[in-house]
Amino acid sequence: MAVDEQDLVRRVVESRDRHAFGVLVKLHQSKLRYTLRQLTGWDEALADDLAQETFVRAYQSIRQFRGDAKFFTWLYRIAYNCFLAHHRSRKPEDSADEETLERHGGTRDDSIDLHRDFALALREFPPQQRMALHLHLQREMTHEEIAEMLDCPLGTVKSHIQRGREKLREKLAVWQTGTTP
Amino acid sequence: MKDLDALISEMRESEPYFSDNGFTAAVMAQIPTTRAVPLWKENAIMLAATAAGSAIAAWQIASAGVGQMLPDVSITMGTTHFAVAALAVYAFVGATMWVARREVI
Repeated sequence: MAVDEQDLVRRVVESRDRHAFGVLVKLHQSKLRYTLRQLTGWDEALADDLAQETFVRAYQSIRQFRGDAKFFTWLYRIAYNCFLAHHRSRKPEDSADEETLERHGGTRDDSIDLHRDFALALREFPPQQRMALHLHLQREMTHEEIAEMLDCPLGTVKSHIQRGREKLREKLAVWQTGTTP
Repeated sequence: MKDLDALISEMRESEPYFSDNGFTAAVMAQIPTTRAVPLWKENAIMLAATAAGSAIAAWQIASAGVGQMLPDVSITMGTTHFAVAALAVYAFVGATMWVARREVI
């Protein structure tokens, strides 16, 4: 049976229907957790914590969702703000990088290597560019949609993506030769 | 040799699906429990309905002259005492309902 997302959102907005919100979480949890893993350099625990925080904030402020955008787009914006808040309050990135790489060293999974390496490559970029690249390349969002979501000028988004692609091409060269690292 | 677009396309197609594994339950445990109708309002409605029902019943009893069949009450208790006792019963019932509902939540 198809789930009517708009109806679920309406039930949560109008009567704080917890069951309906639970269905929305189940519907979106995988994609949102994936997005946050991309933003956090594939730090699974941190990404899941941020995803939980995102859903909790979404529930608390769902009355502000006007329905003029897709629910998931709105959720992305909250997730980005959660990530940004964490990023501003964290330790210097160098030590975090090493920590993350070491953690992955023990649990290597070939089926997600490309995704993980892409996430690690994204760590080279500032948060806004990271998000712009992920949304454009993985979620196929347009420059205009990204500019609106990140609340930044269209030109900045275009520049982020163009320069980011060039850098990513270098970072992921080993994958482009067809030789698995 | 794959170009970046082919690589990205491969990534999109192979995006892993993460099983819920208690994720939704963890989120639901963190969101506040709220009621469609606030508790105080629900209890106020119940008490008002009970009071209105009692008033109608009392009026019916009085108009049917049934009150005369209860001489013991008028003899042992004055009207004021009777009203105070009725209010105490209402307050007790209201408080019991309030506590019981809080525990259910």
